[in-house]
Amino acid sequence: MAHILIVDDQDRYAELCRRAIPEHDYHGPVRNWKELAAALKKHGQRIDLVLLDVHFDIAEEDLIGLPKDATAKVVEQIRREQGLLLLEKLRHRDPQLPVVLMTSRDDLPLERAAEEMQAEEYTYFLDDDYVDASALRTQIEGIVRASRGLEKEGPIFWGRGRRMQRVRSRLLTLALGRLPIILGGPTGTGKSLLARHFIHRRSGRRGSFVAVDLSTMPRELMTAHLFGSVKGSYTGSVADKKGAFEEADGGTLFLDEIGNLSEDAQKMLLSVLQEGVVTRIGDVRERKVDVKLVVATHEDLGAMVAEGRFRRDLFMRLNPACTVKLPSLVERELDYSRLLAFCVEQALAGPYLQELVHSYRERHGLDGKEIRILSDDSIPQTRETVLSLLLSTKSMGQLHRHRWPGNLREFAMTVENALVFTFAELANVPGGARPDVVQIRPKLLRDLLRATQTPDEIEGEGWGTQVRITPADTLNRVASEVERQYFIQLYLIHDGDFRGMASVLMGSPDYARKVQLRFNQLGLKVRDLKNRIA
Amino acid sequence: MSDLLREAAAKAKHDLGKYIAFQTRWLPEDANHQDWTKALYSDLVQTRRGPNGVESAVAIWERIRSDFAALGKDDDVSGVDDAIAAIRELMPALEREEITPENAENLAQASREVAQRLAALHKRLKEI
Repeated sequence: MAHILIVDDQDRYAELCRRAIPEHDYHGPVRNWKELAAALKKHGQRIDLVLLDVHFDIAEEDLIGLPKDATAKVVEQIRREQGLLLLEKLRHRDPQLPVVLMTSRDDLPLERAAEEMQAEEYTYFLDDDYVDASALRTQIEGIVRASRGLEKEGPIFWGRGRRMQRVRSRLLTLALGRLPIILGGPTGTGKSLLARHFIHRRSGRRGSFVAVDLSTMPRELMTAHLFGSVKGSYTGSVADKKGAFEEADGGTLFLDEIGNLSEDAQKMLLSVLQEGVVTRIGDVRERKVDVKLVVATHEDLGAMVAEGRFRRDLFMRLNPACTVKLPSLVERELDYSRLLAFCVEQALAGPYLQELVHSYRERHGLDGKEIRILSDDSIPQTRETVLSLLLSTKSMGQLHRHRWPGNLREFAMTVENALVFTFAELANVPGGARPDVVQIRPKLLRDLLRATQTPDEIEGEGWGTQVRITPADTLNRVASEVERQYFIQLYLIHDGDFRGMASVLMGSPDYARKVQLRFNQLGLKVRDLKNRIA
Repeated sequence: MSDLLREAAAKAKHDLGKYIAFQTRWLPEDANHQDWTKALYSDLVQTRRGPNGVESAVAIWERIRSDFAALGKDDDVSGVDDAIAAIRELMPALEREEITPENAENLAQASREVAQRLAALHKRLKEI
């Protein structure tokens, strides 16, 4: 099931879609920019696809892009290309939201616009000279499948944010090459998941994936574990043993927390990377190995080199120029709703929760396996046979305010715990009037988040963040420094999109210019921050 | 060929051609006479409907017909004229939802003819 927003001055498509393709949830029709912006604000995160008409026969005051004192001819032309103007504004808000223009390419009023639209990756055409319900159904399913494929792959959630999509495309390229890959970023951002389920799978290598967590391994055992050993080479070595490098021959070796590598192991790793051969501890025989090396760290390896804690020559061999840094979860805030749905889906794959939900469904006569996620304002009026999970505005606010020090891992665990506790509690109580809607209680969520709560998690509406105060000679300087900090954070969260920043700061993307001016006044430079996004 | 004519053809295709055979095109193969009557009513009596009200196919064509006067005698425009005339004749019965299966078939054919003629006209004028 997909959430589809219909933008059309007529009722026809909305009526037909609801009747002929009832398996999806439709919103709208919305008929002008004002209504579209309101719908995106309300449902934005949930919308999978927009069906957009091109010609809008609407009142002049509702048109966008209309010049002052426009002649009747110009007004008519603006009506004929209103859909394209809406698309342009929509793209500023969400560059990757799939949009189906309900017109054939030939019908587009402007050649220039037609060329631009064709070049755009997430814009599709509905050739409505010939379309019927089954053709539209096929098109919708294909688009949603492709778009969801980019958002999630197996256990990996990429989301829609440009930063993670850039990480994906960079890793796709790096996975196929011979050179090592460094994965950076805070703990819990999914580095080992990416190494196992994306880099290894996309590398085309037929050998095994071998993971070694260096943070939990005694330093004195590292060399033997990584490079192997022969019988009697150290106390307790009772037989010849292959190391991780040999086990991963032809495949991928993932070294997690590479910063913990002992000095001896660093020296030996350098030699393996230089020569492509491994020598077991206590042996003289060199064994050729072909291993794709992926290393991960939450530390700054460059700084460790500068402090003399990590060998510079080894660092240089690890291909530091192509380090892929994963953003923290708070930097992916725009994806929270989708991530929530993803984590619910993942959690439901677990046997205990599956059993709890199954017995709840059976008790209340609810169909299917899917769980829909609802917000306060989208509860269906009457009882349905599909199970829905309600997260109130207050609960969503809690998710947004939390700083998620454990990142993705913490988020996934919180969702799973919330589901387990909710359904376990429900097992012992009779269903109310609406057993099809199960609420995650805000108090339960608050309790679950308490363990990792930081003092700066501000209650109330709006976006919250953490800033550092450093004394200065005037209060104005202190305030400017604080402002710089949240401008930087917002810039990173919104992938450098000033319209997104303006929505948070001034309630509308239309104030982007003002925000950009202030950004410049604060002495911030786009080119400096762009590197951090990349 | 003036831009005005090209624009008029695009508008006619969108306003009339797109919606005149809209529901009937989506009908399943096993649709019964009642389904056909409903779909034809929707396509021909309520061809355009939105917040600005309802307009029938005949009324739309009457509103935009003069935009094509400069074309003189034109096969596609005449084809639309003829098909609209056939629709106009059966409109009272359709409005009362008392259409026979044979006339329902005639109306469906006429509405397809309008859609095809307007698409052909638009394509031809664009290429000139």
